[in-house]
Amino acid sequence: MDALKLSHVCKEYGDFSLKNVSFALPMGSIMGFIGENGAGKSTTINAILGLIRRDGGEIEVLGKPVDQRPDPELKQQLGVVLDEAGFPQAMTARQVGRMLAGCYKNWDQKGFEGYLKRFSLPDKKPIREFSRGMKMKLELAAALSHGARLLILDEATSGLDPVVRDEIIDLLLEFIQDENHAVLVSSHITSDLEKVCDYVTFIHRGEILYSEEKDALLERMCVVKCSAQQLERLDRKAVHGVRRGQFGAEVLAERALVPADLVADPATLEDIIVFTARKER
Amino acid sequence: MKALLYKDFCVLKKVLRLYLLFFVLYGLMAVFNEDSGFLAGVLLVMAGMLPLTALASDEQGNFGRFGQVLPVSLRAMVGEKYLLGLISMAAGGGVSLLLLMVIELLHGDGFTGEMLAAQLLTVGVLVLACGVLLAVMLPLGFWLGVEKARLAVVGGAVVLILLVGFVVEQGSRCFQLESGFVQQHFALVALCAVAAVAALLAISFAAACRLYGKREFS
Repeated sequence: MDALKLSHVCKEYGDFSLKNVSFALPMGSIMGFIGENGAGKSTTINAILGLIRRDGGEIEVLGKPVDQRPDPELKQQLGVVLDEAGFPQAMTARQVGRMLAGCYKNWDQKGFEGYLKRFSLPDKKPIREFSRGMKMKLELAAALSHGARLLILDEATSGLDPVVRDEIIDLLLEFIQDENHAVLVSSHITSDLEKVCDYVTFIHRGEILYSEEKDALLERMCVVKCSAQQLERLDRKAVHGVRRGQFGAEVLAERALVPADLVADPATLEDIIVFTARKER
Repeated sequence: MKALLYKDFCVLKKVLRLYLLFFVLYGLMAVFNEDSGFLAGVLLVMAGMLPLTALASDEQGNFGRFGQVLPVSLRAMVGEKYLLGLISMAAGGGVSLLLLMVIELLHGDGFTGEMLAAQLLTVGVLVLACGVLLAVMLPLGFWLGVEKARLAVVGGAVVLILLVGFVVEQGSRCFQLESGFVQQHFALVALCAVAAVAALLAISFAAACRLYGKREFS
């Protein structure tokens, strides 16, 4: 059973649309959902969570088909961290715990308090006085304290310092120790995702360009620095993106199709985003 | 729903403190000026607005979006605001009745059955009017957002205050307590009025659920 499965999901806005978004997140793995700003990451996640109504396609969450919104029973197994913390600003962490205890059947109050302690979050301070990092940690503490099997993080690490981001990565690695868990994390901070993800799905202008194992993708791609003449010799099928400079070009290419005489450096996820977003063939 | 009520009470604590302050200050003025009706009416309008204040707070703090990922049904999300409205109306009605009775005792002819009936009638009409206001405003708030529904809130509040003024001015004469059909069938008329408002609230709830279900939270 896949933790999450999208098949030809579509959503039309006036100036943007999701087009046949399809990918699957296997159980026991972490998937990085990457793309430049405005690529459609949050729109896709909103469709999964039922925050927007999709115009077409199918979504399955934890093996159950989802109509437009996951039903409350399914949401019991979802842990969600959104880009903007949604807890009422006037509440304290302790009050949030009490509120969520009334929502979740498997709420673990001791576990929640443990996370508050671990993250050094004050339990009696109003949330409006929390920093962005503290709010994110509180959301994560809540997401991890009710026996969730699927964790969905939407740009949860944006604007956070490296120390906090590192803490979050550790938590995700702990969470995924259980093979019945899975994580979908969307971000454009690819350096974090490279450390922790098993799978990567890359979305660009509403379309999925790649969805495969991270290591396989990075092994498949390379960055070639070459002259204009050498660029002309490259097989068009090998080229995924070009950046032309004053003295030559940098090319994101399929490693297997690059001539042996050209120097091919390993590609990073950031390279894939940048070259694809600024595509020039 | 209990969890959502708890959340709203945490959020509205500050507002409720302001309401209490308002009530104490103006209540004292009303007692000394023997002017009870207006204050009672305003109190009930404020009570009726409490669910909208809570809804506005949800929107401001992004809870509207976050609330969608909680394992709470749409009906519970909407129903909680109606329940909050009913609780605040009941509390507002109780406090208004107390205020009217205190003023009547201090400045009127003492505690009589007729006095009590008149006060009950005044407060009852105000509570029902508040229920009508809630029934109109909440679906608009859920559908359009509180900001856009504010014009309707202001318009509804003006109508309600005018109604309050009419009822207070006319008093028992308006409903012909001393004679006539209403006096003879007062219980039936009261029951019909309560049933009509209850039905309106039920229709309003169904409409609010439908409208809120169509909203998107991107």
